[in-house]
Amino acid sequence: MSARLDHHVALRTADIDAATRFWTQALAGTVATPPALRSGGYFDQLFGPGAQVKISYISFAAGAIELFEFAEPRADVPRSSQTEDGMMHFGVTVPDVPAALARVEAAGGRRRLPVNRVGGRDEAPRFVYCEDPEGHVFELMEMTRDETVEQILTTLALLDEAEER
Amino acid sequence: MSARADHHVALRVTDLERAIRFYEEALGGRLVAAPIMREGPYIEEVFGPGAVVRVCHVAFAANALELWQFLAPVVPIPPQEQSAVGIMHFAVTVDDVPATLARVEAAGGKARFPVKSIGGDSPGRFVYCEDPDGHVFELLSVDHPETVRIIVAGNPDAVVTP
Repeated sequence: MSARLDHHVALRTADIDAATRFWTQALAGTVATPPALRSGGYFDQLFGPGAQVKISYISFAAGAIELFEFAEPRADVPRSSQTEDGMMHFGVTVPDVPAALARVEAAGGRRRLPVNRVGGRDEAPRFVYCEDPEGHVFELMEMTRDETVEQILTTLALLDEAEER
Repeated sequence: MSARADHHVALRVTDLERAIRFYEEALGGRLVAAPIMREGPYIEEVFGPGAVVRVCHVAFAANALELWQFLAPVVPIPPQEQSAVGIMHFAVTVDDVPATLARVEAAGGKARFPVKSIGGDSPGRFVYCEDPDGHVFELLSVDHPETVRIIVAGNPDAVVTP
């Protein structure tokens, strides 16, 4: 059986209260569990001896974000670099990309690129890469995963046709 | 309206074919868009001048992975120290954590610590794993709403007050 990869994505943050506010305002997430300090028990095994971490869960219409603010050990949250990071970004489906982007910007995030349409086609759905206030990258798309795969395959077929001409 | 945070998770990998095989064998993923080479103005706008990438999509019962292999620039995949990275891990709901872990290990992945009970003593099981590139993913035997119920039941601090 195929696994479900929609349990959550975990983000490390320098300020869990600010991050909780951002994700609830920008993408209308719901606080499922508020920030709570955790340590001891298996947290030493998860994150190393002496780890102390505040954790919250933000739920969405599908999927969730788990936010971690480490009190110990402390390390700056690196700004994402798409060509250097291991985990690059995560994708979010919204009904209207410019409207969602306006909320992201109002909440303190920003776009990394102009809003584009898949394959540059006039009728194709829109998407844009964004950053939260700490530089985590997420992609807004007005299509589901299956619709995105169809759009990619359409784009490739058109490219092939153009090459043959 | 709340957004859907289940479109995909993007991973940078050193060997696209090895990564596809791993996620097919370990988690039952299905290749839905085969690897294609991308370069040119749009890719350079997203990833910087001279970027050349191969990208594919692997779909699951829910959500998907977008796997990227950069031909340029070539940068090693950094270690995924959970207390040092920005995006830490992604989490996966499975029927049986030990059985799935056995598949993960057979496919070339590993557990970062022994399988545990969520909250220390609940029936929910979880473990952090690594894929062959070191990307961290969590296997859980309960879905997200059930995980939240377990956390709230065991932690008075985790109750949401309106």
